[in-house]
Amino acid sequence: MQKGLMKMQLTSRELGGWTVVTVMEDRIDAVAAIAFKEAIRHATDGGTGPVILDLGRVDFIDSSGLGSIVAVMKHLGRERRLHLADLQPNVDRVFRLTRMDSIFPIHATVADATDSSPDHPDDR
Amino acid sequence: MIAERMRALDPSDARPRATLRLMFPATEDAVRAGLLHCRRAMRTAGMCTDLTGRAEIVLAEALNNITEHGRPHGQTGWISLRCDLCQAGLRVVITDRCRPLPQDLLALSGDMRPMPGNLDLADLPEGGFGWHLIRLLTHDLACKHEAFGNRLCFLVPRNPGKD
Repeated sequence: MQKGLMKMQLTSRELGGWTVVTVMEDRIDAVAAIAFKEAIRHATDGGTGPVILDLGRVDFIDSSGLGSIVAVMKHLGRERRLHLADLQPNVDRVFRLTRMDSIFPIHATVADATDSSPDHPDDR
Repeated sequence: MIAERMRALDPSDARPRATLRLMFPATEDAVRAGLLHCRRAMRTAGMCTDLTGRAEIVLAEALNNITEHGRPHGQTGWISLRCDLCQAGLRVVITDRCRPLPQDLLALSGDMRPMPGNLDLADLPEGGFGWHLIRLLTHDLACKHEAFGNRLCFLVPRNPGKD
């Protein structure tokens, strides 16, 4: 299967000024990385406010997947800060070992993030 | 299907030791199928969630490196993977018939740890994490280019301390 043809299932919804994007796949890996970037750009185009990436269903991420999440963060820019929520243990491990947990605001749950004001996401 | 090309030894064994052998093409889809197969085999062999998780990260990075850097133009190489569950952890040998990995990837010294610190958003690294993760999560890491191809060996320790 060519990478460009790989499908990445996401759902996207607006919640209290946030855009919540839930990944419906269990892996963000080398096979899925490009499709993931394209899908999340499509899911967030035209919106405003910070974005929360709900990773609760994702049980594995590799360095390609991590790179794609960094690329999405760059694409969204500072105006639409990318937050992460509900990291499963082996996903959390990859973020910690690469020190990327210091770059992304990480929340235990989506609700933890949306209960706060989206106006000052950098304060969190 | 890729999975049908795999050969696996049944890891269920009365003894605590288990061995898994796989062969698959050096493609991303085959690597993903191989990793899922390994995960099931590691669980069947009674490996704990923590060791299984660390092993999956390391195996993914090592195998992805081969598919990204070692594949001859227009050809698909083959990867052979052997995992031995032993007292110290999971001992892994990966051989391939691909071209040598780039020397900068083979350099086993030096710290490639991404240190974003106060980097601007635009300067954040989008790659270079793979060998960093492999080094952090393994012991006895060795890689040689031999006549037939590359041979990468390492141990994913059972008790690594806190990572």
